[in-house]
Amino acid sequence: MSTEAEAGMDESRAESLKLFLNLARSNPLYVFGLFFTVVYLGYSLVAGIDPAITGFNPLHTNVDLQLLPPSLRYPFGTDDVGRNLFLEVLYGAPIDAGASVAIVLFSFTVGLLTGSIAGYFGGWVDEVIMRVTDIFLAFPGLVLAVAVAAALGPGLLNAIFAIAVVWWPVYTRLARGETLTVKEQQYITAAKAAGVGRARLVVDHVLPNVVVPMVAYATADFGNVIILFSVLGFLGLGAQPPHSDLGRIVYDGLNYIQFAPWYPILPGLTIFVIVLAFAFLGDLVRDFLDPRTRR
Amino acid sequence: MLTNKRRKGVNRTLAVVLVVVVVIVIAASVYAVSRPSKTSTTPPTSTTSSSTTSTGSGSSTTTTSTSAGAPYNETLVVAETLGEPSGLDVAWSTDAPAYEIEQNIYQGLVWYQGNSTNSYVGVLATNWSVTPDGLTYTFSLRHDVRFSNGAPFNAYDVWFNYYRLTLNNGPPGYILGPATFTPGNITLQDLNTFNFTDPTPAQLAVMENPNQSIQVVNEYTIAFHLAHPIPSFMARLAAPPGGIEYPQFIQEHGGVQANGTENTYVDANGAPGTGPYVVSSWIHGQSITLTLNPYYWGPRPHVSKVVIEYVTNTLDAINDLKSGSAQMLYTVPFNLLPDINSTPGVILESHGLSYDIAWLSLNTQAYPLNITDVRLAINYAVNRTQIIDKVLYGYGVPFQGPIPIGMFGHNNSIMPIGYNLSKAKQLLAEAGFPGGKGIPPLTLLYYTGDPVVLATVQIIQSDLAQIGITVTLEGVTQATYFNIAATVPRVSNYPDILWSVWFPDFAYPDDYAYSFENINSVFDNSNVNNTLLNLWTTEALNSANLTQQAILYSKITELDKQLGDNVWLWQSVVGYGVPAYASNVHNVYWNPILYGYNYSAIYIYPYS
Amino acid sequence: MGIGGFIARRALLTIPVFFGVTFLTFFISHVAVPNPVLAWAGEKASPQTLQAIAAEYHLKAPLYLQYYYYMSGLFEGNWGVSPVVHLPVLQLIETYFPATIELSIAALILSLVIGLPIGVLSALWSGRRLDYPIRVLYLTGIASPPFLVALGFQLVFAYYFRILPSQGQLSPSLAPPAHITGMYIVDSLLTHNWPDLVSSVRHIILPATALSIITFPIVSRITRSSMLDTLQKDYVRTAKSKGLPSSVVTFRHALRNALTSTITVIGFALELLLSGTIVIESIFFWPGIGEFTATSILSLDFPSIMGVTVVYTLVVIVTNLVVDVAYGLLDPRVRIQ
Repeated sequence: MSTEAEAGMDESRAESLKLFLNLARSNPLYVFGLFFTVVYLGYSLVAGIDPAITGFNPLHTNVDLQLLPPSLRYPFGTDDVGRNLFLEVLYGAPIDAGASVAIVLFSFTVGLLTGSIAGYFGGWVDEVIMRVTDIFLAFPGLVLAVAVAAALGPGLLNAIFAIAVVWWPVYTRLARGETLTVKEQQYITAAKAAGVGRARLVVDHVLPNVVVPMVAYATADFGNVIILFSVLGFLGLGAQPPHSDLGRIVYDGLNYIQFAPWYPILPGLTIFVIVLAFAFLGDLVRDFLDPRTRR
Repeated sequence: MLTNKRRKGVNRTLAVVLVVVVVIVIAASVYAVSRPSKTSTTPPTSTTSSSTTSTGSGSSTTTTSTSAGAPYNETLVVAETLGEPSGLDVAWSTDAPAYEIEQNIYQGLVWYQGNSTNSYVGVLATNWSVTPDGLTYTFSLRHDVRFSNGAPFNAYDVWFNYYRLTLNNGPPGYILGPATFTPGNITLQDLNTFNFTDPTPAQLAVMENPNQSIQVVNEYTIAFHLAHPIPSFMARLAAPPGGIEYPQFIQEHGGVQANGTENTYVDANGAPGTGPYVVSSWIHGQSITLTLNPYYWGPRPHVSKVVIEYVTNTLDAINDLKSGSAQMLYTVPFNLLPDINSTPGVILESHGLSYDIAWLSLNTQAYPLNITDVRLAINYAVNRTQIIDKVLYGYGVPFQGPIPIGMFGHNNSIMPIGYNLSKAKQLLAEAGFPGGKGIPPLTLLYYTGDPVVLATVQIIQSDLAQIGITVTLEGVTQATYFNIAATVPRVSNYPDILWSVWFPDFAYPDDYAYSFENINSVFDNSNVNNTLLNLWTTEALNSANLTQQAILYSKITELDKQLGDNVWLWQSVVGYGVPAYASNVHNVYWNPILYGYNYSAIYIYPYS
Repeated sequence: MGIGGFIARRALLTIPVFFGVTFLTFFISHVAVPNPVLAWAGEKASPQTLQAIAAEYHLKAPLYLQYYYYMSGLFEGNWGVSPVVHLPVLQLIETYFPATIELSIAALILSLVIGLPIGVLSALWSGRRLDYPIRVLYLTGIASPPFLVALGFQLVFAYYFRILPSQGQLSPSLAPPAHITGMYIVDSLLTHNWPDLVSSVRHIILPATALSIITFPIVSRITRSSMLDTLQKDYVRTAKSKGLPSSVVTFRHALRNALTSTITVIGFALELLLSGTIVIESIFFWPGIGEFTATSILSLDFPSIMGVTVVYTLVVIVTNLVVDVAYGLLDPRVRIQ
């Protein structure tokens, strides 16, 4: 690509960023979504590298302090073995973040590859890939994820694997759909006529236009993954105590719901807020990519 | 898309909505927080014994005090939280919910006297004798017993039932059947074609042949010829698989099945029995209803209808008991005790301890747990009393196993290892691991779904961290847990520390000592292969002499304590929780080996 | 191609999907835990009993053979026996299925009741200030983990205010109505069993509402976008310019056409319902297929797991087929693809 064109692209990138931020500022929901998710992911990255900064020591049980209600010292109260629930939530939140990032990245990549290949080449390649996708889609995602996780046994990695197995087909469908649309576009035909090679075509023209709408979907999808992941934790499959993820904390807290309701409720609300933030972010990205905004 | 003017308006509305949502959430949390928290719980006092027998004995009459004012024709609702029976055929079920029902609808030859398991009374038997070599047991049977369909009971029925257990070889076979009798020349066809009410002379000849495990002496006398002494034989007869079912019913509904095959019809519907109740309906997933056996030979129960509801949500079960829609509850899980304790009108069962125990099995075949001092250090580092206090709310006691307190063979003078942190550290240092340095992380396997287990293993994890030992917790589903724990040879991922629980199969010490200490038992969870232990447990298993058994079991207990491969955690009121019932329910019979409730002596007064 | 060919082609394509799904489940459950017998028979069963049970379920045979036995039995109507509950799987499914259908229908109705107005209003007020509370509502529905919603309802209505029952399908002290459809509400209506009717309606309120929270967002979203589309169509503008009041325009033209998107709605909602019932039924102990699936998976009850898999797959496949065919009928262009 010529330097002129590159410079042109840089300029429009800066413009896009300005547009994005303006759009974000226009709506407090977007501000909340963007801000919270950035902070959450950043925090999770740091905490993932060094869990000690959360201040939570899972081995520090003090049974005399079990099931205390929320107070200044224990903002979320204590759990059944006397640990600070707030710190436990801080410790578990990065697990959800890490898991959903892994799952979304995996699904995105696999889906993009399989979907674009299916859409671009068509024919029996398309049919085979679509049938395989259908098989996975025919199964209610939760059932398959639970079955895989139960078969593999509880554990963080098994849960991630179980959900990833279930999650990629949607991205394949998306990618295929976008690929089909792009394939018929004018500029593709023009580039073909100009003699641009197939591989070049795919990489330079098809993929970027397929990826962009998928990103919008993926952003909002983080929240869905977190929900499914917390459901697995809720069913007892997933990260193991004392390194519980948020869903698992809710599951364990359920046993005490009648006389220590803060134990399952507050971590549950945390899940809710996280997912909500991602949903707002997803809306923001969708608005940003909506051609009607870019007038 | 948005003009500046509109943006401001939108922001305000939005902010208001968001604030409202947040306020609601905070208000709800404050409300939740302001609810009364748990009150202190009162643990049970030492074991008391109330002398009531309920199932009727051969020679004495039942004693029920102050039942004069209590009416008959009552309905009792029981909230059952342990789950539904897997079936109602004594030849196929081994789960506690099944036992509970079976103990009320079938009867065996004997049961225990009162509230201990040290002496027996006859139920279907009137008296019995044993030869000094312990090989022949002869029972005289009651004459006036009828099954719930009116058919008379006799020795031929016993012959049928116990050969059925032996030939069918279902899951309970390790209690009664192949574990105690040999099939000899008896075939399935015999069992499926003989007439057990009025046998032909040819059939009688087969049944009366003295050269077999089970022999009919006459219509009301049965004899058992054992191949070797079985000290636990009486206890096995008293266990639920010893219940007698009406033979013709089984013959007409699938018959006696071949080795290892289930009779699905009888398992799903039960068979006529001689007990005080019959199952009048079973709505799967919901309830079982027991009504009176019209032909019951014993005193008529006060409660004529028992509705046992399978309530999966224990909080609901507790609410049912509190509100009065259920009169009895089996059981309140330990972690929910604060919710029901000190509720007026509710009694928590505290007669004494069952034989249910929990402990940690340390894998003696794995490094560094093959070093005795390391194992003993772990024993001293676990604070059992704290766990019992805070997790079981006092409804358990520490004990020195393998034999539980109250069972024959338990030696009260051998004290359990107590909590001593400095001693633990010292032992670890002497073993060459000062401060825990050099000890690799140990895996602890447990099954999920029980918050009591989860809380306990987490406390143990932090207890051991105090002496420098790192424990990794592995929680698996119960099904996976069985696959790992009960498979021999041991799987490659057998854990260093295995969470272990045990509920008695029958009330005799070899069910514990042999199971845990003998290398040939699949339940030797610590994989201990000690020559003396192997020898003593086998001797005790086959000894006909009570004194010799007592001595052997004391020696086994002492050696177990020295080896330290089993970290005995607690013996509890009931393994799963605490039974509870309304204060107007009287004469609730209790025995350490009883599963669930025995309904025939209960009366409700005053009746609301 | 003609409509017949279209349906046939679509239907044929579902066959490999069906076998693919069933084999996938089979593979997962059997390879992961090759010997479930201990879990079925109890840990204390004798080795002979374990062997006999293993033989009965062909557990020693190679995997493809086991699959063959299973599938051939399936088509004969023999879905196996649950080794955990000791009852035939087909019978269990027949017992539990109506309860889930009842719950799903109730939830679907509720989501239409909640979702349609929200979708309509959201389309009408699109871009204006009132759209945003609607959007918050809709996003709240999407963002709520299903178990949290269910728990919240249970806590508030059943434990604190004690006005609604917290579990089950019917009050335990009542006998179920005579079995006609298996759905308690329908059956008690048909048999004039008023106490049962009241009790079953009371019991369905919480789980159905919790379930509808999961599905109403998709209803409102699709209603909204299809209404937006139709509002912009020419004939609506033409109608407006003819002088009709705008409210009439809305409710006569746009809504009617938006309702044709109900097919899409039901297709999407069904997928959500199927997975949602697993969680909701578990929390409310609603005796349906979802709860049965969860317990079967956790207790390694393979025959039951296979049974519910087949059921789910059939439901999804049939629904997708119906949706595809409906689209094909409505839009001839689709058939050409």
